[in-house]
Amino acid sequence: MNEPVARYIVLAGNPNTGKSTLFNRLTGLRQKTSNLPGTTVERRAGSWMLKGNRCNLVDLPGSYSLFPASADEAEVAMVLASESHTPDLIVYVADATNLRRHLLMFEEMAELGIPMVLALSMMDMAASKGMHISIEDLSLKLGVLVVPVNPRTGEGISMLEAAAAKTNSSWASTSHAGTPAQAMNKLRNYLAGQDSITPDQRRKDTSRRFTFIGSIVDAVQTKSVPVKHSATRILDRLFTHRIWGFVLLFFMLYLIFQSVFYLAEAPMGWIEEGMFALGSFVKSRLPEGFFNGLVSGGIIPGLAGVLVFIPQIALLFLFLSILEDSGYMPRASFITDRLMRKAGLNGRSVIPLVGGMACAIPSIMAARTIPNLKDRLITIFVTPLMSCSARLPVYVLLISLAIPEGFRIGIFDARGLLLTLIYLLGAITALVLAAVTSLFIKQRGNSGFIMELPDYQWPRFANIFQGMYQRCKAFVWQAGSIILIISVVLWFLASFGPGNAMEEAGAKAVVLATSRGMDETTTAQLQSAAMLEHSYAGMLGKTIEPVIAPLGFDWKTGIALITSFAAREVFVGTMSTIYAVGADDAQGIREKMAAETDPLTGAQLYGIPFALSLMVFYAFALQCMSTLAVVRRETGSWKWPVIQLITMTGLAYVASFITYKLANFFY
Amino acid sequence: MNAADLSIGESALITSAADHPVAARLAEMGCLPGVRIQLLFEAPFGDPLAFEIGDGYLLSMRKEEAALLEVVKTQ
Repeated sequence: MNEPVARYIVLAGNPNTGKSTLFNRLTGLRQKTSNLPGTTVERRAGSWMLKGNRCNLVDLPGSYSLFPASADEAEVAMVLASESHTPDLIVYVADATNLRRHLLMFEEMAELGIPMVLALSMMDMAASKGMHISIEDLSLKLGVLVVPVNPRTGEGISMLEAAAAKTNSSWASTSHAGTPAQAMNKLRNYLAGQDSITPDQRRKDTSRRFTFIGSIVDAVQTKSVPVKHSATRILDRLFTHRIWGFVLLFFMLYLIFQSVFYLAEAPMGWIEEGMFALGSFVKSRLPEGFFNGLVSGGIIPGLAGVLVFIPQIALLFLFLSILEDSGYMPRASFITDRLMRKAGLNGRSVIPLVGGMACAIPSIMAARTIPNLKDRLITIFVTPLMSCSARLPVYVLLISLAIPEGFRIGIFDARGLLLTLIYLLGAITALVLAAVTSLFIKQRGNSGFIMELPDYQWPRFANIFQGMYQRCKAFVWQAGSIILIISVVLWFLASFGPGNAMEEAGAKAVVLATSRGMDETTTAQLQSAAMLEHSYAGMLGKTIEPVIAPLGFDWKTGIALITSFAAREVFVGTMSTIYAVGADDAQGIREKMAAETDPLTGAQLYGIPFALSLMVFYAFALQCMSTLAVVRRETGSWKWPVIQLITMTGLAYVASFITYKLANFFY
Repeated sequence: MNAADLSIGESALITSAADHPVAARLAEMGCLPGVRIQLLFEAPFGDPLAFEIGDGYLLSMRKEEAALLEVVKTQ
């Protein structure tokens, strides 16, 4: 027996209509909604129950026209023009306060003959502006069912469901002279590049549609009182000011990093203590031996190294989501467009670049909203240079090694300042690299900045917290599972060596220590260091030591560099595991590294030059498999990820080398 | 004159547009002959520009893009 084929329904509309919030409502599948034009970069699908029938609902990216101006919009046009998977129904969401513009793409779609339902959002806003829309008349004139909805409260959802269940054919009245099949063919040919439509023809078609829409809107809508966006106008005067605009942008970013550092301090301490308590508990309760060592020495320290950074990552996502959801980010694009153009980018690149400070992966996908291919490629190319949240754990550990707590430079906390500097280093390098790269890429098509600046709005915290939770969950599951595996493998590699090389080395160390009359603790330290050095992990680190020695890294750091090649956040976990092997005390990884001295000379091993050099290395190196994979997907070939990997790793090596030499010179 | 020639605060009516793909895009964003536009503010260094389109919404565009729209100043 054949399953009845589920109806395939798409949700379409301009950006900023509440479309994504409506999608959440209809499917119950939570997803972040955003105030930015076109952040629904991935098509999100969910199931929508209509009168007991399960339908597939796909959330299309917000777009303005079926004549695509960006990769995002091309996707919408492709979905509708698909020959094998034409949608059974389009639920079109339009903003009632700006009906004319929102109905343009509605008309473009209606001409294709796909059944449609029109959902009108922001009816309350329209009413408050003295605008009345006759739903019945609009429905009659457009020839489709029209339902007022409020995605935030859920008002009108059941009506919308009833309308969607009922609509299975197209009766839309349009101004198009030909048949729907002709319109569809024309679109398909245009998208396939077989039919060129002159800009003039395109404008004539648009004009015809607007005339048609205008006559309908005039008939069904009472004349609107001129809309006052007073709050938005005042805020814009501030945020787009030639001086204050930039000051505020930098101040907000600076504030974010300071608060990430400060606010996370307490919860990080709790997690750290909790994990140590857990480790000691497990160690004391499990029978002494192999399994005990694996769990308390391998798995728990490795996991602790990751979990401890949840507060910082959550805070970073929280602040960046507030900037995005409030409508500020388009303004940041607006004021930086000139500057970005000089660097071979586009004002819109600011959104992926700032987002890159959280995670490069969604940001590289967000570059789809950049209309020009060259601008988009360069944005994708340099976004991984922005310091992402996975580097944060590494920076925090290294900064705490380099700078004592409470150390101040003027009114600034030195740790927060250094963190801001390392983020700036990434950002400035990204701009310079963009400028250089733009010399090598040919310009195709127009680079432009036609962008809607939506009204500011109070951030929707329910959505933001939902998104924050999702990001943290993803971080724990993705990073956690890699780290768990690597911790276990690493524990084995660090606990065992070829033959009895480890035992011999340990015994030799004890003899050496005794001959020099060292105390018990130092002897034990020397012994465990010698044993680690002759374990499999130590051999691995030793192998690459000659390559990384000029950067100031020893073989232990080498082990961490190898393990963090797939994902950089593994670094801290690796260091935790290395130091937990052969140590009994409940010290944190920070203290352990800071206390690490050369047992023979007594000199501090991980000092300021080491910390700075390694920070610079992590700022530049592309140590993230997922980024390479997403760049490959977005650019369609391995060419870009390979160039990116070589460029960034080379940059990391050279910059690290210079940093180490300079730091040694001054320090 | 074209829309890039407007000073901040000035309103104008769009009369025509150049035969250019970008102008076709602007039309789809609501910049059609007969529509009122007002230059509200500009980015630092005078580019890009932010226009209010019709009596509805705020649209930003670069100077070179605004120059594609022919306008007549109102009062």
